[in-house]
Amino acid sequence: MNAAKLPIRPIETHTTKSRRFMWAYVALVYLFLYLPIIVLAIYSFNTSRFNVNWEGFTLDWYARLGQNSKILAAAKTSLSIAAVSTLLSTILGTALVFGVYRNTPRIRSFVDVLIYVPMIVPETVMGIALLAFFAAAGIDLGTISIIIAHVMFSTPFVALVVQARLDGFEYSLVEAALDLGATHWIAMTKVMLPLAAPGIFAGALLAFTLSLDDFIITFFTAGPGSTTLPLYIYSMVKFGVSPEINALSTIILAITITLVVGSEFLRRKRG
Amino acid sequence: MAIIPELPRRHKGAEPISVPKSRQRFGLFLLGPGALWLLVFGIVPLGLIVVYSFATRGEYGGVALKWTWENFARLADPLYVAIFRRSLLMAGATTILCIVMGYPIAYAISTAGPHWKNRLLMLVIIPFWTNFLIRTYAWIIILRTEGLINSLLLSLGIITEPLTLLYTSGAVLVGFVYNWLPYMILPIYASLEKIDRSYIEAAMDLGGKGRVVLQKVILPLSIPGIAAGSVLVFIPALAMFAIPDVLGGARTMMIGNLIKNQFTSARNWPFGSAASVVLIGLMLLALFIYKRLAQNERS
Amino acid sequence: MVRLESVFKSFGEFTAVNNVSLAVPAGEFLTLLGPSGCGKTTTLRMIAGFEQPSSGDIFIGNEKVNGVPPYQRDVNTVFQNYALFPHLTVFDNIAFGLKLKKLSQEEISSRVSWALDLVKLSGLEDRRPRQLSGGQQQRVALARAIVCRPRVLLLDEPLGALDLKLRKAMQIELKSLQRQLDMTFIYVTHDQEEALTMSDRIGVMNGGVLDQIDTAATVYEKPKTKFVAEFIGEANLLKARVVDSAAPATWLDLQGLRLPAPYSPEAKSGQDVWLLVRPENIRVLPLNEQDALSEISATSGSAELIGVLQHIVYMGATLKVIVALQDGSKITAARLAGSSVTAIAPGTPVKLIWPTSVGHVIVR
Repeated sequence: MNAAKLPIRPIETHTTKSRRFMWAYVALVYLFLYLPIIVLAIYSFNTSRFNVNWEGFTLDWYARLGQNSKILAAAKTSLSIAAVSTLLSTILGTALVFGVYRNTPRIRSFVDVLIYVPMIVPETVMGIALLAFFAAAGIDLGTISIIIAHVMFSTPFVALVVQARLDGFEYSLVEAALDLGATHWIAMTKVMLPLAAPGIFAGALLAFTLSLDDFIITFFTAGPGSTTLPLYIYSMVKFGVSPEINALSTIILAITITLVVGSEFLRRKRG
Repeated sequence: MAIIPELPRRHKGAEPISVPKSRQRFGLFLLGPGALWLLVFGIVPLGLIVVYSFATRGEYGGVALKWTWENFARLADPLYVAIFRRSLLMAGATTILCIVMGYPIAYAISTAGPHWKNRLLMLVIIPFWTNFLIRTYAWIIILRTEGLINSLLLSLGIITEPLTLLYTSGAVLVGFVYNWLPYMILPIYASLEKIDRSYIEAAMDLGGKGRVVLQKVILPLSIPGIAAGSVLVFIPALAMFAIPDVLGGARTMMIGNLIKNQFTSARNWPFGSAASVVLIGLMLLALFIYKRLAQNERS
Repeated sequence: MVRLESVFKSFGEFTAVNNVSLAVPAGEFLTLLGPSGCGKTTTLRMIAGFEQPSSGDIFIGNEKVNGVPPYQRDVNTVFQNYALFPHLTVFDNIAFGLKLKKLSQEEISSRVSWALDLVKLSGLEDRRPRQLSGGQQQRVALARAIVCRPRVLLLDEPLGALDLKLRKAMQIELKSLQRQLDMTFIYVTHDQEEALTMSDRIGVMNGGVLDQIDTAATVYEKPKTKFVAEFIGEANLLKARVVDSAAPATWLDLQGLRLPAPYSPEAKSGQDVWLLVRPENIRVLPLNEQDALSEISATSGSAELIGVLQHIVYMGATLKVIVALQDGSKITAARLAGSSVTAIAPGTPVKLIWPTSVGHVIVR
C-alpha cells in the first residue's frame, strides 16, 4: 500500500551476467536502428558523387538543394495540403467524438466501424479504392483529391486521440451544465471543449505529421501538378542514388529530431 | 509516422440507458459530417473495389460492368499464387524477426529505471519521424555493390568480389524489419508495463530465478502485446509496394506491387480489385487469429 | 526465527524504516500494525527479499539474509492483491513453487490437494483466478504460499480487499490455520481490530519507527506512546504533571486534582505526561447521587472529575457518553446499553469516576 508512493525501482530479476548480455543485444538493435540514418547524414557531406569512399567535406549538396525549385515547390505543396487537411480532420474528428457521447450504443458501434476500417485496411488498398472512387465520381486527381484522402485517414486518428483524452469523462458534467440552464451548444463549448483541448491539440499534431509524411495513399490520389515532398523523394530514390537526397534527408531528420527533443525538453521543463 | 500502441478501447463511462431525443439530435448534428466523410470516402470506395473485382476490363483500360469470376480465377495462376506465397512468407518472416529483435528491447526498456525508460523509448521512435522512403533509401547506401558492407568486407579481405546484397529478397526483408520494428516494440512494451509487478515478485517469492520468471510469467502475460504487434506489422507488410520497389528488384514482386501495377501501368482495375479483395480476406483472417489469441488470454 | 537488528531503509531523502529491531520466535503470530506509510510493508518486503535494508541486518533462522534474493529465502508471501498468475489454473498456481523445487509429479499433486483441502477449495483445481470470488482467490494465494512449507509466512494485508463479514471469518480461520501448521506468521495490517483478534504479539509502527512490540493486552492497556494509545482502541488522554513518582504509585496533578496512577518508572517529577483512561473504565454519575458515590468510594482508590454531559450516542451493545470538562476538553465513556446514564439529560453536570488502578501514564 505505501509501496505505491515510494519511488518505483526495477526488481533485480536477473544476474549481472545475463543483464550484461541483454543490454549488449539491446545496443546492437539500437545500432541497427541508427546506422542507416547516421550513414545517410555523413554521406551528405561527402564530395564524391557516388558515396563510395570519403573524399572530402562539402556543403555542395545542400547548396544545390537550395537551388532546386522542384523540391521547394513540393515542400510548399506538402505543407499547404497538410495545413488544410489538419484543420478539416481536427474539426471532423473532434465533433465525431463529442457527438458519440450523446448517442445510443447502436450509433456508437457504427461510428466505431467507420473509425476502424480506414485504420486497419492496408494503405495500398485504401489508395487504389480512392483512385477508383475518384474516377467513378468524376473528381479530378490533384490537390483536392489528396486533401479528401488525407482527411479520410487522419480523422480516425484525431478521434482516437480526443477519445483517449476524454476516457472516463463524466457525462454528468455536461448534464449539470444543461441542468443549470445551458444550451447543448454552450454545454459543449464551455465544458467538453476545454477538457478535451489537450487531446484536440495532440490529435491535430498527429494529423499534420500523418499528412506531411504520407506516401502510399497520396501516390494513388495525386495528379499532375500536385507533387508532394514524399512523392518527389520517391521519384528521386527510384531515379538513383544522389547525394542531394542525403542532404534533403539530413535536413528533414535534423528538423524532426530538433522538434521531438525540443518538445520533450519543454514538456519536462513545464512538468 | 504514427504508431498505434494498441487497438482502441470501447467508449467507457456511465452508459445512459436511454438517450434523450434532443441530446441525440444534437449528437447526430455533431458526428454527422465526420461520419459521412468516413462513409463516403472510406467505406464506399472499398465497396466499389469489391464491385469492380467482379467486373471486366474495358477496352481502353476502363471498367466494363460485365459480371464475371474471371479475375479471381486468374489469381489461381501459378504466377500469382507465387506472388501471394512470397508476400505471406515475407510478411511472416518480418513479423517473426520483429518479435525476435523487438521483444528483448521492449523487455529491457521495461526493466530500466524511469528516466532511462523514457529516453530509450524516445530513441526507438526518433528514426521513425523521418519519411519511410528516406529510411529505406539509406539501406541502398549500405547494401549496394559499392556500398558500406561490401567496401568494409573487401577492405578487410574477407571477400574478393562484392556480394549482391541489394535488389534481393533479403534486402526487402531488412527494409521491412527496419520499417516496422517500432510497431512491434511499442505494443509489447505496453503489455509488459501492464503486468502487475506483484506477479513477478510472487514468482520470485515462490523460488523463481530470472529466467524462470521470464518464461513462466512475463512471456505468457505479454502475449496480447505480441499479438497486437504482429497485427500491426503483418497486415501492412502484406500490402507494401514501395519498399520492394526501392530495395528489391523485379524478382521480388509482392501483392502490393501487383495491385499497384494493375492500377497504374497495366490498367486492369478489375483484376487489381480482385487481388485487393483477396488481400482484405487475408487481413480479416489475421485479425480473426489475433482476436482468438487475445480472447484465449482472457477466458 | 526472524530477527531484525537496527534495520534502516531509505528511499532517497525519505526514511521508510527507521532503526527497527525485533525478534520473532518460531511459531509466533506477529502483526505489524500501523497507518499507511508507517513502514510496515517495507519491513515485510525486506524480510521477503524484495527490498534490501540500507543498513542493519536481517536473520532468518540463524542465517544472515542481507543480499540473498527472494527465490533463495525460505519465506513465502501472501500478497495484498493476491498476485495470482492470471494465465495459470488454480492447480498450476499452487504448484508453481513446487515445480521449481523439482519435486516429483505425485509429490506435487498430493501436496497441492493437501493445501487445497486445508483452505477448503478442493474441486476448483482447473479454474482460472478470474473465475473465483475474492474470498476464494485469497484462499488460493494462501494455499500457494503455505504449500511450499516455508519457515516463515509473510502476509501483506491479505484480507484488505474482502468485505467485513468475510474478513472476520477469515481472521479466525487464519489464526487456527497458523496454530494447526505451527508456522511463524508475520502479518501486516492497518486494522487494529484484526491485529487484536489474531496476534500473539503486535508491533505498532509509526513513521518508520517501531513504537512498541508486545502482546495484544499489553499494547492495549499499557501503550508506550501516545500514538499507540490512540491508534489502538479509543483513548482518553488527560494532560497531567508528575508530582511524585516512586513505587508503587506515580502521583499526578490533573487540573489541580492530586491522584495516583500505577507506577511508571519513566515518569520524573515535574514532567508533563498523559494519563490514559480507556472509555470502558469510566463511570458517569449524576452529581447529586450520594448513594452511588459512597458505593464507589468503598472500593478505595478511585479518581473523580466533574464535567457536563454533552451527548449520548447509541452504538448498539454500548453507549458512548461524551462529557465536556471545564477546560473544554472532551472525555468519552463507554457504558452498556442498559445503563442508568440514559436517564441523565444532556447539559447536566456529571461526575466521572474511574479506579486509579486502570490509569496509565504515558511519557511520550
